[in-house]
Amino acid sequence: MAAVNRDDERAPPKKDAGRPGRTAQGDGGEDVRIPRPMLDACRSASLLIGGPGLRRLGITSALREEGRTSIALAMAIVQREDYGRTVALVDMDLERPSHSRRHGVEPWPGLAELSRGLASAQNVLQKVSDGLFVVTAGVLTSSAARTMAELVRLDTLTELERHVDVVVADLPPLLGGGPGAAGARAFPELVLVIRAGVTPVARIKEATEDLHCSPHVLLNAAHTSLPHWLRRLVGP
Amino acid sequence: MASWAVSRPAECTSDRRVREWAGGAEAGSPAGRAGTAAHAAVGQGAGPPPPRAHVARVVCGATLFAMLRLVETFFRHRMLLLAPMALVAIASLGWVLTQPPSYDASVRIWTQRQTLVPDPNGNPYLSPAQEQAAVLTELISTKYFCAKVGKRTALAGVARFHLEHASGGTRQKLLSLVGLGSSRGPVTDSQVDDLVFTTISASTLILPSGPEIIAITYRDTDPQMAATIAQAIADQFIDETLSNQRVQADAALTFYTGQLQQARSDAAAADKAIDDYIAANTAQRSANASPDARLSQLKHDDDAAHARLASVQDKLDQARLDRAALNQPGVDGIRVLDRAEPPSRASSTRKTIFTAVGVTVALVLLILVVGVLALTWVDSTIRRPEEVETVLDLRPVGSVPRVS
Repeated sequence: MAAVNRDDERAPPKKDAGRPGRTAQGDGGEDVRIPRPMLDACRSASLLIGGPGLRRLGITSALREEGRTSIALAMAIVQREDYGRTVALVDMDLERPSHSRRHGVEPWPGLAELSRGLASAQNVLQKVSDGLFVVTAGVLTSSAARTMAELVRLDTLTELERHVDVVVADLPPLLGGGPGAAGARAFPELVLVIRAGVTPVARIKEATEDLHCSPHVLLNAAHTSLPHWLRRLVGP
Repeated sequence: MASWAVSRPAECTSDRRVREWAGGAEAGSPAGRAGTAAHAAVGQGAGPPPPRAHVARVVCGATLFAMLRLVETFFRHRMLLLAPMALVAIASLGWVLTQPPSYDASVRIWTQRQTLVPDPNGNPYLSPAQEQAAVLTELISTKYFCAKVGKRTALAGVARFHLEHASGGTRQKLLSLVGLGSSRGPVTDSQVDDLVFTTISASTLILPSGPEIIAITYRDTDPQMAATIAQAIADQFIDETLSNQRVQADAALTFYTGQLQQARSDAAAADKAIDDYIAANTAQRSANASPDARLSQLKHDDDAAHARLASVQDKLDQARLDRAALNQPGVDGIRVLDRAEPPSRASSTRKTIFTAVGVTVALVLLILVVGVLALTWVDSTIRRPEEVETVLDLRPVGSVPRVS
C-alpha cells in the first residue's frame, strides 16, 4: 500500500492502480487508511460538487459516527491527487478533535490559536504529506460553541485560504447540541455524510432544515442485501 | 436543462456548475431543492408543472424502489424471517407425525322423491339425493339426532367413559394443584349427548354422489367404530324418514276417516230428505207423476252426497294402503345400497398432510408479508442513493460502499 506521507514529498503521488487505497500518516500517527472505494466515491462526488474550482468545503453529518472524518480526509486526498492542489484539512470538530492523533501532528497551535491571534496561518498548517496540511482544533480557552462563533465571525478560514488552494473542514455534527450548525454557515459548499441504514430520516431532516444551503449528500457505508442474481435482474 | 427547472438565485454555487456540467437533465431534477431553509427562501415550487412523461417515470421509479426496498428487507432480515417460518414448518411436520391414524367408513343410500304427501313448495330442480342430503345434514347438526345415533351404537358409552375418566385439561390440572379445582360431579346424560353431538357433527361428511345416491362418511380412529356409526347414521336417518312418513300417513288416515263419517251422514240425510218428501207428496210415487222441481233438487243432492262418500272412501282406502305399505321394508323411498364396512387401512394421512401444508403455507405467507412490511415500516433510514432524492428531497453526490 502506498502512503501519502512525508516520505513521499520528493516524489509526486503515483496513481494507485491495483492498490487498495491511500494512507495519510504523520510522524507517530495512526495509520489512517482510506479505502479505495471511498476514494473513488469521493472522486466522483468532488467532480459533482465543483472539483478543481472548490475553495472551501465543509464535511458534516447529522450525528456522530457517520464517517465524516474519513470522508473529509478522502476529499482532501482527492483534491491533492486529482487536481494537484494544496489542501488544508481543518479539524473543526472542536468538541472531539481527532486529526492530531490520527495524523500524528501537534495538537496545537491550531484553529483556536489562529482565531485568537496567537499563531499565524503558517504556524497552524502542519504538513502530513506533499501538499496536504492539517490544521488541528487547537486548545480551547472557552466553550466550543463560543470558539466556533468566533471562527465564523472573524472569518478565520479566509486566512488559511491565502496559503492553500482549498480548505476541507471536518465539521462537527449538526445535531447533538454542538456548534455544527454554526460552523456550517462558514461554508458555501457542504457535504452531508449519511451512514446508510443507520441515520434516521427524521434526524437528517431535523439537521438540514435550518441549513443555509442545500447540502450535497454522500451516502456512506451503502450496502445492499440483494443477492447478485437479483441485482443483475433489476439493474444498478 | 429541462424547461420546467426553477432557477435559484441563492443556491449553492456548485449547483449551477453541476447543471452546466451535467447538461440539465440531472441538475434540473426537482429533487434536492427542497428540505432546507435555503429552499424555502428561494420560493421553490413556482413555475410550470413537469411534463407528464417525467411524472410517470418518477412514479414508476418510486414504485420499483418501494418494491426493491421490501425485497431487500427480506434478504437483510432473512434469518429473522426464515426462523419462524422454519419453526412453523417443523411444528406442522410434528403435528402430522403425531396425528393418530383415522379411518373413513362410508354408507351409500338410495333415495327417491317422496310422493306420499307431495310438497307443493318443493324445488323440482333438486335431485332427491340433494334434497335428502340437505335434510340429513340438518339432522346431523341437531343434538336430538346425534344423541339417537349415539344410543344406537357404543359411542354414547365411549363418550361417557371419556367424560368419567377425563382429567379435565391442563387448566383444571393446574387449578387442582393449587387447590382451586372444582370437584367434578357425576356425568350427566346431557354431557354425554353434548360430546356425542360434537363428535358426530365434526366427523361426518354427507355428500350426494349421484342424483339419487347419498354417501355418508364417518371418520374415527377405530375402523370398527367408524363403520358402526356410519351405518347407525344411515339407519337412524331411514327411521326418521319412515317415522315422518308414518306420521303423515296416520294424519291422512285420521283425516279421511273423519271425512268419511261426515260424507256418510250427509248421504243418509239426503236419502232421508227424499223419503220424507215422497211421503208428504204421494202423487210423486207413481211413475207417471209430473216432474217436481223440489224432488229433482233433492235427488241431485243425494247423488252428490253419495259421490262424495265414494270418493272419500277411495281416499281412505288408499291412505290405509299407504300406511300398511310403510310397515313393509324398502317402500319408504330410502334404502341402504352399500352397508358400512370397517376400512382396512387408514385414510387420513393424505388429508392430514394437505391440511398441514395448507396451514403451513398460510402461516409462512402471513409471517413473510407481515414481517417484511413491519420491518420495512420500522426502518426509517436511508439505504439507497435514490432515497436521498425521494425521501429527503436532497441531491446525492455519491455513495461509499461498505467495506468489510
